[in-house]
Amino acid sequence: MKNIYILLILFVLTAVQYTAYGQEVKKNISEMSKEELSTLTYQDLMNLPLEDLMVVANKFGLSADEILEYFLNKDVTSASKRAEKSLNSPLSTTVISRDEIMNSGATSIPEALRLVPGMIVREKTNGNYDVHIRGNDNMPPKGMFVYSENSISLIMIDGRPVYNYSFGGTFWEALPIDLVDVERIEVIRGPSSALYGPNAASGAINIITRQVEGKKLKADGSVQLGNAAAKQANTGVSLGIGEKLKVRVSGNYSYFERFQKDFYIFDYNKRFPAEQIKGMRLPTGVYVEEHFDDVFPRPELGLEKYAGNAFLHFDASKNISMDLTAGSQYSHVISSTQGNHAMPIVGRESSTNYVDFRLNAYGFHLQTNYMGGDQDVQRKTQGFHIQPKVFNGSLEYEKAFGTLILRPGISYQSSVYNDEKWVDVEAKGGYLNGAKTLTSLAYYLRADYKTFEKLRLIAALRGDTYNKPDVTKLTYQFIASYDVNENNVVRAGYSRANRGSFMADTYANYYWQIVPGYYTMHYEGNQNMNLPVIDMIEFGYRTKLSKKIMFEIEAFHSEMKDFTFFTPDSMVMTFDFSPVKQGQAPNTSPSKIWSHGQYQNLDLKTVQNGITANLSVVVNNNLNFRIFGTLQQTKLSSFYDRTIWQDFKYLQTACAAQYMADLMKIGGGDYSPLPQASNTKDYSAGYKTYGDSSNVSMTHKGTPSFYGGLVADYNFKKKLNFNTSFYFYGKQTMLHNKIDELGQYTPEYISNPAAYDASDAYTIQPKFIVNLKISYKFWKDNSVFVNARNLFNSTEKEFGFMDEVKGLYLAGVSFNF
Amino acid sequence: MKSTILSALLIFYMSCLTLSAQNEKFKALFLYNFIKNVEWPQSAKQGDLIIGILGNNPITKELETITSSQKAGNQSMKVKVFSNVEEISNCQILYVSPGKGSAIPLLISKINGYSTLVVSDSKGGIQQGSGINFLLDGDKLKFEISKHNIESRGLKVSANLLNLGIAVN
Repeated sequence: MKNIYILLILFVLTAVQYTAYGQEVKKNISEMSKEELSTLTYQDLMNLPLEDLMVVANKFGLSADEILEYFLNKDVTSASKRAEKSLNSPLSTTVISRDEIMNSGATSIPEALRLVPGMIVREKTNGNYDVHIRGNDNMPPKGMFVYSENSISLIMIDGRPVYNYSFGGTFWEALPIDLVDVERIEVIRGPSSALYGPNAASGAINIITRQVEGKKLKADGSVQLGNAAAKQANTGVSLGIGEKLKVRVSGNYSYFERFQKDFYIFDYNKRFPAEQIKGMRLPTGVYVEEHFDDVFPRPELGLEKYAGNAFLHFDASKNISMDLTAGSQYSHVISSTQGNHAMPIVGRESSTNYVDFRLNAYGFHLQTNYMGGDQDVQRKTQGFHIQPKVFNGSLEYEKAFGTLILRPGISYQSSVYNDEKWVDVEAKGGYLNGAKTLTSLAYYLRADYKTFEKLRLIAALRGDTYNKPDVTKLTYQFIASYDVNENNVVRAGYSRANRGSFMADTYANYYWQIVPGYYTMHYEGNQNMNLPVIDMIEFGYRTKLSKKIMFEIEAFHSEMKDFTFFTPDSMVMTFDFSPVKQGQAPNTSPSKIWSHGQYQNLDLKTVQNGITANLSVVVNNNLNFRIFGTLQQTKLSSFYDRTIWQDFKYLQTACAAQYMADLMKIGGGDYSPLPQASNTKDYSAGYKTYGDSSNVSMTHKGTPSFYGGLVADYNFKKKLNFNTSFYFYGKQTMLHNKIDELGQYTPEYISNPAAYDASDAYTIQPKFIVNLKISYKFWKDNSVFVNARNLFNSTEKEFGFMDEVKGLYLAGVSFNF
Repeated sequence: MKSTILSALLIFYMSCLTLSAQNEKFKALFLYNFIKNVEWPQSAKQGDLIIGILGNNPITKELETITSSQKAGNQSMKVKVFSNVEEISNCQILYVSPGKGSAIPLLISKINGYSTLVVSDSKGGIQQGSGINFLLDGDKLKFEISKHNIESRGLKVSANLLNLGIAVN
């Protein structure tokens, strides 16, 4: 029976395929956007007068079949910093357009990245995503949650880095813009520091905002509502003032509630409702979350954010143009922690402002921007509240000498983070205890040379001088690209990139009162570490198999080293001998514990080998699809296979053993170990006592060995649009530093620790996510839509210890007038 | 899982549907528009309007799509392919493929006496005698037009077409 329905659907689809022709073109061609033009049928084009046809042709910037090019072979600027066709891009790049994103129904920028090959995108809690390029995620394994953040990819908005320098990474919810502002997103896979500077180690993502076209007052946006209390509203208004000034203002609002409203606790390997956690203590006496109501004023919250932006574009003359953008955002999410607490999730709140200025004049490109505000990285948790002030400035100049194009540049970045408003600086109550500064000054040169018409050689060199560590790091990129013919391009590249420093691993100087007055951990940064570095060799091949089909494949081999890692290195236990002196039973526990840990470089090296392929097919003007996937393997060598808790336990045992030895002596009549001047005695132990004997080699299971997706877009009679996208990843195991303590206070664990299996908490099962958006244009470009994210409600969690991710079903209206 | 397999099948099926030809779409559409903007002498308005193509070119298929459904005034249109200059017979429009640009001077003498609009697709086409010449200006498809070359063959060209093209004389 079901099959009959399928046949019926296929029949209807076939029928509509043929009736889709013969539409009248009612709208004025010159007013239509590129996306609207791309929906014109052949019949429409035949009916157009020549002047309109030329408008269509030229809007596509065209050789003869630019409509196809528009889908298959988009312009990409990120890879070479100049506009060029995807086919010719010398790097592994993918561009997704506004149209693709809107049709897909993605609810946020990180979710839209599931449309891009080579991206690992997992949802942690409703609305909050982990985004990695290719891999090296959850690295080093067995670390704190902060090591699961992507600190090795550089995200930019119109070339402005939005990297978070507190612990490294990107707070996606704190980006001021949303999809309503996006013209396209360009993704570069692979190390690209030489082009973009620090942190573009596994790749770079440049989000390009929309340009205002024409002088008319226009408004667009959308409103959608769904389950999990989902509400989203986005709008933008644009206007041209005279011929030269273009203005756009926009606003966005999103609210999503969590799919699971309870909270996981590592030590019980179980979720508890909020009410039960308030006041709950672990058997050690430590509160699970002492200030629960402050930390989680709304335990049901997934994400709430709102922001406003203003964009000004001014064409001063043929050779001079400038852009001024400014905005302000607020966000509050419940997502994974950066620190090390009894629960894996925390609240995070950001309130920031930015201004960005860009000037293009006679081959010079100047960009300067500032971001400042207030970020409570771990809401209402001692030490995590900071005020960031980030400044970037760069000047580049492009000059062509025949087929040689040179682009030298200079860049300065400064980030100042300050926590003194919220911590007791004298008591070292925070990570930074005052304003701390990271700077880098860079000089760079890119040379792009085409010879024999077919061979293109590119070299990019960049030297960044950092203040911490006080070093100059050279990064580079060498690429050879060869046009076999106009439809086939092969390329090979070698590049080196590095991550920069961030605040916590450089400046941390935090006396963490684990048990106030009793157990203190001195958490210390390190200003003299090597910066993590990645080297990659890559081969790529792109081919246009026909005018309608483009296939690309890239094979990559990368090696990464000099990871920075927080490592316990010493402990002092103070024991009180007064009972012994008074002839009573000795104390069994110390009266005070002091421990110390510091960031340092690990011996760990990672080697990743992988292949990413992408097939794009334009079936006709109404239907196109893309299918893509990545197959990869990551091997670790010299991996320090221990958690910080194992290290601390070792240090505790080492201190306690000395105390025991002294007690034995005393018991045997040798009173020399007894402290004389006071009643207490310190016992210390150091990390180096067992050295690096724990280093192992292993296959990394934190990155799925296969991930990919499929996107199909079908347009029926220019009114109805169906977009379905699949995203898939294979099984992963997230190794976290609590994996050996999971459930340690449960009766099952206590009775037989060896048999206790908590792997469900950190094993991510393969997941196949199907999304579907159907929209119907009821009047001009105004449409109503239904939008299903995770259509079949696959409930598996996508990230270790986080919430289950369920189906999100939305309906809404999008307007454009 | 069953439903995902079904969705995948659906997409596969959709992708197998008609692959309509879109090669050289715009050049063909431009040619069709040239016809609308040029007036032939009465003698050439008899019978079918012949679009000649010199050289093998994907534009042929595109033009056949257009000519199968469209008319030029009252005339039906037909596409004729000539593989070399010798084969050229009377036609109202003659499109010279990019690879055949060097044959323009020769074909001009061959069509002496015909009311033919010669459309070339190579650098210097106008200088060699064609009436309209396609060119790519950067990324944009444009055309050069010579009123003299067109009218010397007894044709009339609309002011609109002259305005849209780049005048070369």
